[in-house]
Amino acid sequence: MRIRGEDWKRMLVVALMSAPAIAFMTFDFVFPNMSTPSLGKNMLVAFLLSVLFGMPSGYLTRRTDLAIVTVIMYVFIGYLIAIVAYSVPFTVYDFSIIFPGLYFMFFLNMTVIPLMLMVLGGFIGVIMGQMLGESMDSEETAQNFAK
Amino acid sequence: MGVLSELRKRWFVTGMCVASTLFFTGALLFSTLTYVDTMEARQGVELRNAVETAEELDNGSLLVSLSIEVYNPSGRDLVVQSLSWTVRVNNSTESSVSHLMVASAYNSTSDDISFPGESVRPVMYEAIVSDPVILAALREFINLSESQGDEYTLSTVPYLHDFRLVAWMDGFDHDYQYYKELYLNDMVRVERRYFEGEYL
Repeated sequence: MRIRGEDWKRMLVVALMSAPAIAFMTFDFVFPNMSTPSLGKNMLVAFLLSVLFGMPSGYLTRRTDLAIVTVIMYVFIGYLIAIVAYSVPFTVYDFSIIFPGLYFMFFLNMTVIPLMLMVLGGFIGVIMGQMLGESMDSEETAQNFAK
Repeated sequence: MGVLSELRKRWFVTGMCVASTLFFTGALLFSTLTYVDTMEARQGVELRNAVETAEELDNGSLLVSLSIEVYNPSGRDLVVQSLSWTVRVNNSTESSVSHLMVASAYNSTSDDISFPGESVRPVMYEAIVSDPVILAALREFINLSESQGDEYTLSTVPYLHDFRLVAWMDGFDHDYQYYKELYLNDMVRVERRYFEGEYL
């Protein structure tokens, strides 16, 4: 199926709305002692939140293929924002003493599993969001007929 | 239907999404600022203005002291994990390396020492050495040096002062035991050393 310009816009809007949560959760996973509020590296909570933030993609983007692409988009954008946040002090100071060598590799190493969980949770959230949308639509239709 | 009008139609879910976006954006910004602040604090702490003294007392004992300032420019208090000071004399020759321990002192967390944020606090250690074994060894060192052309007295012996500060930034947990999380300890730990006249 073709993807229209309007679909891209919708996907981008939904991705931008969900990306900060992914960015925060990723940052929090690396620095639980720096972030507020912290999830404390709790994978279950991170996964449940990922499901929650996948729901708008399913709810606002009814086409499943586009919703899945939206999940990948917002996880990618969120991850990039987290890398930027992680790198902020390094742009001013040389902290090679703390993180010797490839500090991006350190970040990737620390976050690869939550990253996968966020994508998986997003997919599950898409399904739940679509179910929620259909339920709300059918309820709205029933109410309209009742009038 | 345009994207905006569609979002407006689904105002409830859109509103919740916008609210959570704002919340997590704020949380991320705040956390990043905390992170930057901590890194700055870690970088900014300095030892400076060290003054070493040694004096022979009337009763023949030796008074050695070190005064040094701990400069903490950050807004975060430093809680001392350990402060240590040792004074020794390098008694090495071409064929052997040995050190003569003169005095030492140690403070740990139980002493409840802290360096408040945005402050300069002096630390002073003093020791009166009256142990005849140490004084005899020092005099032997002086005599040996004299035979090699160096004129020393108890007050002018080249004492080597070694001062170490290990502190935590107050307000951060640092009890991570799991080896993959030890970097969290390193982030909030400040280690400084003054050794042989150099700030390390």
